[in-house]
Amino acid sequence: MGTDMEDDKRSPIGSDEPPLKQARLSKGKLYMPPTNEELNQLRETENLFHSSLFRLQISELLSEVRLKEKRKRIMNIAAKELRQILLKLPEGKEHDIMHQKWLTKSGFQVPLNQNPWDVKGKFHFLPPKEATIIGSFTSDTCVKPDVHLDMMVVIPKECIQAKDHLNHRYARKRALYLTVLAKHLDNQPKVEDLMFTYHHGNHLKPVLVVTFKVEDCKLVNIHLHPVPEEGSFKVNRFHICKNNIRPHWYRGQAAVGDQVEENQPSTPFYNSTVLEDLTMKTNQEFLMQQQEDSSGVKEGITLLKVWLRQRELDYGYGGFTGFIMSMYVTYLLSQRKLNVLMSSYQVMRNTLINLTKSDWTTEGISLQAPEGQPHIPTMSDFHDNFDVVFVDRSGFLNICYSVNSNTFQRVRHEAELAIEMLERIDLDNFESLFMKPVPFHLKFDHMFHINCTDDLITSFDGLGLSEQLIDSCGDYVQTCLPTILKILGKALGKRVRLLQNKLISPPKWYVTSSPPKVPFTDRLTVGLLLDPEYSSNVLDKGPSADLAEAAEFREFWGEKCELRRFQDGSICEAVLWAAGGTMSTKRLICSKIVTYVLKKCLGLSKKNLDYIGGQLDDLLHMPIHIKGNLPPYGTGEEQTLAIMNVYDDLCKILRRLELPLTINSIQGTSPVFRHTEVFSPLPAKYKHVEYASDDVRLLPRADKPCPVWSPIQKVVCLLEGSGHWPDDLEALRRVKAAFHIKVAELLNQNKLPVQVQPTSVLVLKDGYVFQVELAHTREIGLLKLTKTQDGMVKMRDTEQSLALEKEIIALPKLTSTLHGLQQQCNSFSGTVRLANRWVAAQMLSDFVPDIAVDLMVAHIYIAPLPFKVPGSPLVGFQRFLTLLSTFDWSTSPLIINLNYKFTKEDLTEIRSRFTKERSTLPLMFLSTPEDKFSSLWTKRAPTAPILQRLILLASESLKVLNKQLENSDGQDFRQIFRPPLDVYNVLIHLCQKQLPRQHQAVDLRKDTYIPCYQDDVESNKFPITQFDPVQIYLKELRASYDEFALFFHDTFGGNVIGVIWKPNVFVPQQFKVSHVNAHKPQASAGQEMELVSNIEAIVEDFRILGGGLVASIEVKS
Amino acid sequence: MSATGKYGSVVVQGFSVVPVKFSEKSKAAHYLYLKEHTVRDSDAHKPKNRTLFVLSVPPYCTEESLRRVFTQCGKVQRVYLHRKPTAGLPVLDSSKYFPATPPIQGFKVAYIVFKDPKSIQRAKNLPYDKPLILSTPEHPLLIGLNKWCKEYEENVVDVREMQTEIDNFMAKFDQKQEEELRKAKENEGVPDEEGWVTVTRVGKKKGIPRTEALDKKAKEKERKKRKEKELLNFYTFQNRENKRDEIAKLRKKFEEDKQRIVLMKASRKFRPY
Repeated sequence: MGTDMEDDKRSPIGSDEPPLKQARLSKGKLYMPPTNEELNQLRETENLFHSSLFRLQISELLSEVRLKEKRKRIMNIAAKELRQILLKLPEGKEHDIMHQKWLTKSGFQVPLNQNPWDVKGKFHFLPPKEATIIGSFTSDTCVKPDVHLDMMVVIPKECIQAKDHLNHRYARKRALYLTVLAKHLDNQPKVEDLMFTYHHGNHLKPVLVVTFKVEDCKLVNIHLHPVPEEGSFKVNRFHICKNNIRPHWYRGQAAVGDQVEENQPSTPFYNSTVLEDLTMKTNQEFLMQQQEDSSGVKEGITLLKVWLRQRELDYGYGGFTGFIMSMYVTYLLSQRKLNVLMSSYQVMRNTLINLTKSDWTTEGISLQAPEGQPHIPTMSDFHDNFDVVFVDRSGFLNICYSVNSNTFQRVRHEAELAIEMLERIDLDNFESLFMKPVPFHLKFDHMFHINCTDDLITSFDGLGLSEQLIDSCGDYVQTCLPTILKILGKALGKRVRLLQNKLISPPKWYVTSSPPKVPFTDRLTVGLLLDPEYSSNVLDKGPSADLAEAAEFREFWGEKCELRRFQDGSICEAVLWAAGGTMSTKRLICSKIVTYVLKKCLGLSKKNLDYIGGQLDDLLHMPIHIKGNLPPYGTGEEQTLAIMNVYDDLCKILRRLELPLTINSIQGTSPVFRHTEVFSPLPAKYKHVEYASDDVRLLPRADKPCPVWSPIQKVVCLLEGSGHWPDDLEALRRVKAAFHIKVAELLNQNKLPVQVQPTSVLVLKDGYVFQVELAHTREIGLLKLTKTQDGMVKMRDTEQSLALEKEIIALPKLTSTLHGLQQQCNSFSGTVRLANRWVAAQMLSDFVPDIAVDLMVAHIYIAPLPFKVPGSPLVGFQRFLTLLSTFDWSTSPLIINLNYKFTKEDLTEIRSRFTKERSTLPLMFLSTPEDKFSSLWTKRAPTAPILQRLILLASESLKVLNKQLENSDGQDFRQIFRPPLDVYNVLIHLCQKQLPRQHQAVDLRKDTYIPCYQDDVESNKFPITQFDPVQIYLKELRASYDEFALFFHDTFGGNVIGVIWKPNVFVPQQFKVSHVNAHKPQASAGQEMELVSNIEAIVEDFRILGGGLVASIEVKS
Repeated sequence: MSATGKYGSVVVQGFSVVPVKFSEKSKAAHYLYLKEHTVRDSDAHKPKNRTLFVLSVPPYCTEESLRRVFTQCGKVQRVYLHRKPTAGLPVLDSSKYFPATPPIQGFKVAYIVFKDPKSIQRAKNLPYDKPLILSTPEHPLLIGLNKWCKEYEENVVDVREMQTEIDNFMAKFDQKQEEELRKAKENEGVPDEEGWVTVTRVGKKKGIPRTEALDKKAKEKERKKRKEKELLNFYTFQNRENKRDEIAKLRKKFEEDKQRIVLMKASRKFRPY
């Protein structure tokens, strides 16, 4: 039994539902003797389902996605009525296939690309022999929404002539048949709408979509699939190794002599297309017979379909359709891997487990009946012709004929993840399994779009694809896709775990318009799931030069390949992609490989390739002129490493100091130590702008531009416990200060410039300024100490004690944990910094604690399901926005399982306490193993309106970003980092030259000062640190006008402060001594003097307080 | 309850309203609300009839500027600034490096002590249409960048001075502690009026300190002891009850799960797409 949850559900904050009654049974009911039935049910839940909650969730989900009885009845009526109409259609005249005027003149277009045009044969319309419902509706495994009925319409034998199997003739007739159906149905009053679409995106298989009206208002979508009557063709004719499209016909050449069929290239795709029609009935009957009305099996299939659909795998050409899934379940039933008595949960679980264990690309499976027909193809025939093999009941058709091996690998990969989810004790597995969508752009770390122009065909000969092009009847995109994927798979090797093309939903068009051209899309999207261990390797090592494989390796890589000597003395072929670049270039090595290989193998030019991976890296780049020995600033990873090294040295020095008490632990607590500082600090060695200075320090001057921002880095040293500390807080503060003086002295002996402060020591080391703070836990205890009236000494949390505990215990711990996380997942830093940059860019960083953002991103990395751990900052950032905007903050706690320390009981307890105490807990409730119930970091912020706005901004940003990524050419990716300014009542514009972080701004202006780093600026004077006039200004504004307005600003170089008046500001008030600040008297209607906010004076104050910093103030009406 | 004062001044709820501007150039004015300081327990530092109570003092206003603008009503003896109205004195920080209270920011209240009681009336009659000017070319107020640069410059510690301060404080502190210890020792074993003797830590029999942690520990110990004595799974009824409880637990959980589902359903958690 996996889960349980306490009762007492309060109504969630912000929703207006009435509070639900407590789920508490009366004592009598609880202790009633159990009935047999009940015992059975309880046992069944334990045996057949994951847990009782899971069982309930499944049944709720099923009732949500399955068709209601009422709807089913209506659909049945519709099918019946349509069948009546179809069977009574009048017979048509005989026409030449090529003569279609009789049809087209009434406005109907044949839904097929008739290319080449010349086809022999006659078409004669006869009413269908039969029209029956097939597909998921019959087996009751439909999944809402977009439910349609599939109806098989049997073309009478008489319509088919000899030789119709050849040269598209069957496909033509089928299309013509559909057109005639459309023409006849058009007159029917009950037919609301008529459209064509392609069955599973196969452009040879149009289907007619009839929107049928029942009972005057209910609409039912019915797809009509024409199939030839049994006995029209010999199934053997379409053996996958036979040829049914003569190349000379296709190329428009005259037949050269008496060509023997056997010598012609086989047409497996075309044959399978026809076979699909021929075997439709057999497979349908087989499916029905095997499922035997077992509700467990049906529900299991429905669940699997939901699972597929959430992963966008079940539609379009090459999709792993619901039909394949149903057939697979049937296969497992026939193999006795499943049985009809199993529960839906067991069916689903076992199917997924079997899926992970099988590999249809090498060992195809078959449903073929033992007493099959003669001449059926062998398994190896199938493997020679198709990527993925799953043979149907007849033994002739591979129902996975359009699925490529990459899609199949993706399905298997997803199945593996699903099993992982089911095995996790976590409560949310149901949600990740069935409820959370897994869209393509969130699944894959990198993507690229290719524009496939028909220039590609020129490279087909070289790739050996010309014959396949005939087979696929001109769809060059689908023809070359598997080859492209194979080549890329080879080129990328270990760098990627998974490579998959995005499936494209088939087009739909009106019966009166001409069908879309083939291929109906010229755009391919391929996703890469990176393996972080290898994806940024700069070098691909090939075989040793003297081996035979070396030649192949050389040929594959072409000019990029070179001989290199390696450290172990071997000389190997190798490809070098980037020599010593920054992390930001290394992250994009896959893009280099893809670009190179596509160019080399397909002749694809750069302009037709659109690689998506590092689009947001620019936001993490800090422009800076560097003179001297410093690595270039890419996205800051190198600089973080540099400061870490200096910090390590400092730690060593600190540990060696001879203090009266030893230092137990040293931990930096500034964001840079958890890799979350958006812009890594550089040593404070900037070209002088002219500072003032006293004898030890450089000082800012009001009449000069503000010095470049250089922050101090906090380091907390926890001292060992000792009984000698005084029991008085005031005395303790002084003893600590004395300690700091001592530390400063000792550091100074180490030739480090220092500055003593009462609560810390500033140390200048290698250009970085560290703020060393001594701390000890005794102080927390003292702050907590209270004495009750009866003399009992109690420990009670106070505001100060909590703040101190946060500072010297929680933050260091969290910092080291997140540092550890970064060591495991190297894209964590990039993601978290993008997230922080985004929050700041929305001018919300003062209202949303940065630690909360850090923790949310950590959650994405620790609990990535239903995805894998993000492999690039871009996808990580998108998932952050998704989490922020879709998480149900009001009713669920966000549990961040840092270091995986939570036990099952912990999780249950957190959830139950959360629901019980919801109303008293912070809005954004984050729980970590070190802080289970208090949500330390989000206690005060964000507030409800801020959180609401944040969520809104996140979902809007996500929308914009997704759109941009769909077509990244010429897109401005900074767009979502520009805050909308129209919501603010007052805008305070700041002087550009007084902004110490102006170079970090989202948009650089012409007058932006780019700082100049110089190695040789050697000064023993303390640099100006932590001096940001804007921050001081904001602090003053908030201290004075907190009751009137909120102030918003982008910390990273924002040149405007947005002000929003609080809603009650404009309400006149009675005179009250406590509420007169910045109010002015105003005569009211009733002769009573009232007070109103003195807005003009306040705005004037904004200017006064920010003297020298404020450029102008814009008040909006 | 409002009326226009005799000399063009405005009075709200007994407070005269006096406009105040930052400088001559400022377009908008703030309004000070002033009144004679009256409290039951008057303080010697804020004498009853000579002290003016001022509300809504703007953030950039300093003691000096207030003194300057109110000198027109008579000689100003002292100006006290507070965060909120208080009868007592502001906490005076004896220590430069270890301030007991953070500096006052934002709007504040002021108490202005005049030499002459008549000045109060003069101040109350200040006209409504003629704002006081806080920052004049001769006596400018330090604001904005200038102020911040100056603060940065002043934010430096004289190590020797601080060390001396610490030493002095600690010497006094130690002395005080010794004094207390001495007193405690003296009183050890001496009964109070009712004849009770307090057990202290300095006596021969040191009592257990009364802390919450120790209290808890003792209770826990007792509970454990009691539990050890108990026999479980011994009597048939215990077994039977255990089984019954088991089923009851399952039922309860099932019921709770159902409740959870209802909640989830309400928040539309079962619409997959």
